[in-house]
Amino acid sequence: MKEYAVLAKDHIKVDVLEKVMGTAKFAADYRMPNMLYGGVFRSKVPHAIVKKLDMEKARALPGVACVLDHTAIPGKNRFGIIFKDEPCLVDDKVRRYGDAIAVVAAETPELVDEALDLIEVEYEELEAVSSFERAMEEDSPKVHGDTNVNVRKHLEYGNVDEAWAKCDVIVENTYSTHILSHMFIEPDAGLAYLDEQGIMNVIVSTQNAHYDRNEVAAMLSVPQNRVRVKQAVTGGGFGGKLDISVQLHCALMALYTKRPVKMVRSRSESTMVSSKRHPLTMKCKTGATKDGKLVAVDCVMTCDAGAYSSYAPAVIGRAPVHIVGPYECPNVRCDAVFVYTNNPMCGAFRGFGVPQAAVCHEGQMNALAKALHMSPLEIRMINAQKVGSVIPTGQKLTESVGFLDTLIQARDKAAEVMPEALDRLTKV
Amino acid sequence: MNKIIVHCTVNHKPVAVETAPNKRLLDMLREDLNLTSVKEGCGEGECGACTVIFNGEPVTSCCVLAGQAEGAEIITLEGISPDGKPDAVQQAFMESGAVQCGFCTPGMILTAEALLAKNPDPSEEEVKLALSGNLCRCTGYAKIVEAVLLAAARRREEAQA
Amino acid sequence: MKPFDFYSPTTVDEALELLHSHRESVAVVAGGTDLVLELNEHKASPAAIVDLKHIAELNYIRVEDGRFRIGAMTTHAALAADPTIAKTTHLLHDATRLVGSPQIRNLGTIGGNIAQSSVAGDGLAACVTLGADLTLRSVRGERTMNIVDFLEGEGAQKRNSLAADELLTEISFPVPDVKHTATAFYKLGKRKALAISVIAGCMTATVDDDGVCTHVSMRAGALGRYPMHFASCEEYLIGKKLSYAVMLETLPIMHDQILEANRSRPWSVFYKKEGAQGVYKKLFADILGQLGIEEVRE
Repeated sequence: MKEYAVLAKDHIKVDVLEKVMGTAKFAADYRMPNMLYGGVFRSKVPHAIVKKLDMEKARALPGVACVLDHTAIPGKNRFGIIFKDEPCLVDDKVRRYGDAIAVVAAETPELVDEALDLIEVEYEELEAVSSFERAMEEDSPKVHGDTNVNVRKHLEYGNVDEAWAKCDVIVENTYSTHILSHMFIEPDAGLAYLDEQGIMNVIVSTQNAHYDRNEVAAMLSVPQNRVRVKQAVTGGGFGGKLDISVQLHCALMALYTKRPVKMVRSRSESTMVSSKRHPLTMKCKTGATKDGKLVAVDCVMTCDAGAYSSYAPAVIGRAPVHIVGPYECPNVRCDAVFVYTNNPMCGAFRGFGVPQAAVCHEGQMNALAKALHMSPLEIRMINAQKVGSVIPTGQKLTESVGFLDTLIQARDKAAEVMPEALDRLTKV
Repeated sequence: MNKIIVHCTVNHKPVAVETAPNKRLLDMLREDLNLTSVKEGCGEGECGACTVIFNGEPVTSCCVLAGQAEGAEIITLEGISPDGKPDAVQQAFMESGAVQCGFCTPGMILTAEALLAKNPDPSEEEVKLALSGNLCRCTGYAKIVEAVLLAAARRREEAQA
Repeated sequence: MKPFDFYSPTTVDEALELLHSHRESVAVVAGGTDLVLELNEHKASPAAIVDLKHIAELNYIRVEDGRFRIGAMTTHAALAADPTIAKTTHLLHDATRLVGSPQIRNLGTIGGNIAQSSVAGDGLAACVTLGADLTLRSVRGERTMNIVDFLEGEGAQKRNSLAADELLTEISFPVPDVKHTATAFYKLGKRKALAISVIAGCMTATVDDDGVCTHVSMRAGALGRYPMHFASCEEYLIGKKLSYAVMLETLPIMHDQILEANRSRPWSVFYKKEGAQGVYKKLFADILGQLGIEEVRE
């Protein structure tokens, strides 16, 4: 095997010394002279119009530097990674439990809590849309605009309707995956301050510093070169720190108070409002010949994507494309609909919908194997994509398709270390 | 506001910390003593990121009130190698790839240090049991266990030499 | 955390005085693994807190007149490390060895676990099964009561008999005679570590020289507000020669009792009535093995 300078050798990571010595600075570890602490007043209902918001008592509390609602925002009050549909602070209505209604900056974290307790709100509650089915009904309340459909995608490859006639066996099943929190170990945190040149600096636990900068600039209504976002050492994200967390709230309060403002979310606040993995329901019909070759896959994919769009347009692109998995199939159709509801917002989460699709295609492969009296391993080897395979987008794979090799090596390794598991894979 | 003074030994130095009674040991260490290696991951004693060595034993500092630390000997990651050079455990964590995002690392290293101080030759099972209160969400447990065993082996070699 | 006055007495008498003078709004902090979280999340906001960490006279494990006497501030870690408990009382050894995580075991105390009377308190379930007596002290005097009566009382917190000015100081129970008595604990949790019990199965059994059951105690934590007492199962076993087959005959009784008690919670009862039987199969095997009656292999 060829010798490489870096590949196949042990290396010490560039940032690891600070991490083992405890000197690496995560966002919550920053502090500045004259710094304030920030907190968010959040909705306790999932869907409502804010009738009255009383912030006067909180403002009057000694040690409170500012209490702001949406009227304080100088620029845009809508952000979002693809569709700009989430408010920095609620203006027209609350769309989920935990929506940010007002923000508070004060001298100590304890004072922030005290001030938050003094804010009073009156809601006109609306029916909460809490399922895909309800969201699609004509008479359901609309979370945004005049339809609850957030995104649709249709994938069509070959001719599925004609293909069923060529199948010796057809299996049909419905798979549902559940909503899931990333539970990155470092809760979201950040710090914002205006420097001597009047540039808004945001130091934050994030996976998306460049996007954050656009959002902060738009919210403050300043050119992008008036905002600098620095990613602090970040304690895990797994997709959950691609969306805005504390960036806008910190920057808004730093603008008003002309003082640095730090925000550190508690675990429960972080879990309440950070994005989640999209729960997919996949109703899937798969046909094959008696030799085990896949002929057709037809899937209807639905999802309650929650109150805001976040990465839904990306996930709805990936999941259908991967609905056949790493297998060759000449006829594929996938209809996908993601809807808005008043549930927690779903976003990016390790794989953008591909792991959810895997639950479906691997379940279908096992079901086919059973119907055809083949072993789970055999049916996968028969259908494995290789160099030259064409995938359902029409793309021809021209190099580096390691699936079959991986299967073979995994089988051999399993024979060595876990023979009982191999039995389950190789026996009918 | 009501204040208390907590007398304790932190990282081998006696200190008298003026703090508030309604602070946790975690907050006192981070805010009053600026020992920010002590991390808050959950605030519920579940994740182990806030682990410190308290009178020789690993404890979650989010479950201890500042005032309860009166008279205690506390060690944080800052006190493990005051000369600024990584010790055997830290070195092994670096070499074994036991660090990913790094947020659980301080707690992991302190728990490992407390284990090795009592048991210089732990089995793999003993290491896993000792670290069972420290969560790593990047799921690097295999490398972390490997690192602790490597550090233990090196320390034993060093002691023999 | 809301502000409070903090007291750190070094003797029980001093602590009792403090509890008495602040009884209108006071909380006791032992290990802190419950209370500090409640304070931090604003679920508790007492005006005063009395810390017991510095009261050395509450931290002991002694054997006197055939009874274990355990100070309320003894940590789970200390109980799990005690060689006499490990040899004679597997039930308490395993219950304390498996609580939370190493960090939690180093902080949490047996007294705190009992005083907190949580639904899923493993130490509590173990002590109830062992028929422990508790010593409660206040400036008004001292009283000793059985732990079952303690749980039935309506004290300051409504979850047990403890009055606002009262301190749990000691837990005691007879040292099991290992020739005739075996005790066992099995925890069903979602993970190996850091798991709150889904079912905390506890059992003790005493046999005479012929292997006939003369005393048995079967209680399980996390099945109801207080450790569930399988009294009918116990009655069934008393007077019978213990064997795995005979013990398995109690499982249908247990099944029906759990079903009946948890009718209002159908989402958990289907799982728990089955899970409890699996838990007790393990306990039966453990008990029979300890008594040298039968090696159960499944």
